[in-house]
Amino acid sequence: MRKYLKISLLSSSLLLLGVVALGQSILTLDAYGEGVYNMQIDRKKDHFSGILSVAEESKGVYRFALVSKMGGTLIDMRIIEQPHAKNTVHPPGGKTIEPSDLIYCVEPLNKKAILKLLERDFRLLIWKKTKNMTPGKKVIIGGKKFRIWSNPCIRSGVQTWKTAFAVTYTENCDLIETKINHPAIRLHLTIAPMEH
Amino acid sequence: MKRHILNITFLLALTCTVSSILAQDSFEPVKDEAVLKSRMKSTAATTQTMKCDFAQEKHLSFMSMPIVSNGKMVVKHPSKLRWEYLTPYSYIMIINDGMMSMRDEGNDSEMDLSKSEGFKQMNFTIMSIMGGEMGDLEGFETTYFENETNYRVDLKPTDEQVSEFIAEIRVYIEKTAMAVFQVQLKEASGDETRMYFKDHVLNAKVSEDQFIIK
Repeated sequence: MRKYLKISLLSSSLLLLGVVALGQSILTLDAYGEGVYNMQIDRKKDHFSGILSVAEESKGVYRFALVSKMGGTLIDMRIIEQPHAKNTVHPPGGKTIEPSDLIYCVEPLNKKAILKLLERDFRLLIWKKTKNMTPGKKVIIGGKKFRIWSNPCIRSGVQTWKTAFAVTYTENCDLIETKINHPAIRLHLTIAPMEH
Repeated sequence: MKRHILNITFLLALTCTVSSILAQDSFEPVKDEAVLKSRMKSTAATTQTMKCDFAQEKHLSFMSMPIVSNGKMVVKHPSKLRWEYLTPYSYIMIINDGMMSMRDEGNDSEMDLSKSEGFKQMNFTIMSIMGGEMGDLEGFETTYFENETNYRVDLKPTDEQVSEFIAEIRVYIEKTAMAVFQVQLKEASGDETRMYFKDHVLNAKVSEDQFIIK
């Protein structure tokens, strides 16, 4: 069980590198500003899956909850988006600190390093294209560099040599799934929208 | 005049319906705890197997709609349980004599529940609730309530580790058949999971294959 919890932590942590349909984040939120995703996490031979719920509570304020399939809430976090010009740039001498709020976390996941990683990955999900996304262009999200390249419906990005992600859309640009691979730590994530 | 009579009739019908719904939701402490405990014991003793369908609703405080999943449950006394989600995802959890097996989107794993006191306790709690044997459940403070049609058993964890996850479990039992028809799990996070059980089949033949992941 502990193993699964660890995986679930990692899972959520390295969550989604959002790739973006123009002017939107990777999130496909409904009319209420909510979205539910089936998230699968594979690390080495271990597998875990859970449900990721996301809601935009108010403009630029997002709530993320990772829930096990049997119903238990593992983590609940609020992330506040800041203007891109400020939150995507390292200030001299330090990284930008963006506001976030941990609402609840099960004890095994309640570690500073895990929460930091989680926040950064959740932040990737809500990141929106605000300027042109020229292939090869580098952007900084949550203090990490990403290189973007894209075609009309399928986009992918690279964080560093350690991480790769790919997002698949239908011809209508509806999200099919996002795959994130972290070969260095042998962690693979798949996130797909779920009916709810 | 006719319209007035119709309006009054409609209002009366509405009042009756609302009152009956409210009556179903309002519970009072059980008058005779011993009778309820003995009924639970005798139901558990005469129930060898139980099959039913379930719907699970996960209520997150910030979501307008619950996340709903559906599946089937099979219990074979005293120590076997199959809990299977069919929609919108596929997930199977089986407890078979202290071993827990899971199939998650085609990936299998197994765990020996007897290796840790915490898991042993979890196994015992799940099997007791599913089997309707909740009288004086170890590790929980139990209180009993009733209304005209149902009993409600409230279980508050006394164990510190359990209370980190669970604030309270409420089990609703239908009085006539003594069947568990709803379980409400209030989490320490403030979120809630509700499980609704229906189409109970008691003492039907259940193959041992049901408790093996193939």
